[in-house]
Amino acid sequence: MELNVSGATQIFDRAALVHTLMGDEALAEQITRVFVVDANAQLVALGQAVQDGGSPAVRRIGHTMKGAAASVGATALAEAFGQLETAGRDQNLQDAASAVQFTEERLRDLELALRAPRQPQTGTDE
Amino acid sequence: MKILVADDDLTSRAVLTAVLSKWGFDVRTVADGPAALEEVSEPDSPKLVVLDRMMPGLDGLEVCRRLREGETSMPRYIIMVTTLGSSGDVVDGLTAGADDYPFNNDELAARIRVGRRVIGLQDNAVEREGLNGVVEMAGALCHELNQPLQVISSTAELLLMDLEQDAPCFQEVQTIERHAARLGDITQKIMAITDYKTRDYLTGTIVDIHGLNEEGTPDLSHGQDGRP
Repeated sequence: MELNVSGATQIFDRAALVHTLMGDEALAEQITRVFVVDANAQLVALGQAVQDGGSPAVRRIGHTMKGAAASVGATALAEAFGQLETAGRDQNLQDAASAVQFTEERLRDLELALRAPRQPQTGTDE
Repeated sequence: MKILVADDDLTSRAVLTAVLSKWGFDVRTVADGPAALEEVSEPDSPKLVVLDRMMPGLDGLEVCRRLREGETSMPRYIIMVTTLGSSGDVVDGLTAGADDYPFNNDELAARIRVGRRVIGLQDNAVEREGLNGVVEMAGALCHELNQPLQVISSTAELLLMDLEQDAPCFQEVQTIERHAARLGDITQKIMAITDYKTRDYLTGTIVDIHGLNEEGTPDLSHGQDGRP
């Protein structure tokens, strides 16, 4: 499995999240913090599931976190979790192990984007 | 209006709770299928339900099927959410009884608005159905009352014909005759009701028969709206 996200994929689409939350910036920050903590925990669980040979768990967690990442506008991370879901569905634990590492890198990208100072009046953060 | 969100993902629950609360919903959240079924088994449980397709315990499809099996006269509005987007997934969701299967946040928002409107219409229909039953029963009772009222009225008329106007009880019999006629008029109005309007009365509403014309239909000349 080729692990990548398309060049146009955003690390974090803050504008989309703020739009969903009806312009509430503070709430957007609060929810992204909750998401990052949860995503880190779920990646640990995914690593464990890969070690244990639990393809169904890899698929289930990958699917759930794909939706979670998409709902906060973490588009690239959503794609990465989607690749984990696919590896779990295909029962390909070798791909899943690579995908866990790839997803961890995308999560670090997101954390950096969240820490970066925001430019006023821009639609998105990348 | 209450809404139930059943989703095993913490972030999605947080986003939905925040948005739905801003829209004025009383949001209940659960993280798995069995908890969703338990929540809707409570009295006065939410009629609008957002179900995640994939959940531990029981998935959204199974929860949806069980909700539909147990339904009586007031169906819930069920929206299934997922990132599984094939046409087969949509068919599975709709076959299980979901009313909608949105794919993104904007679509979900639109579907929830539709759900709120549908539940509101259902509630109005049920309220009106209840009132119709009451009106029908009142009509049947009036039909039963009409015969003894006619006897009272005609007996009073006969008495008045026999009595001198200065007789001691003439005025009392006249009062009986007048009020029997008035009661007869009211029963005729109630029996003729085919449509009605309500007015506030103490802690609730009552059918306003004084707003009806001779045919029993709402008299719009009073400046109040008749309900269709």
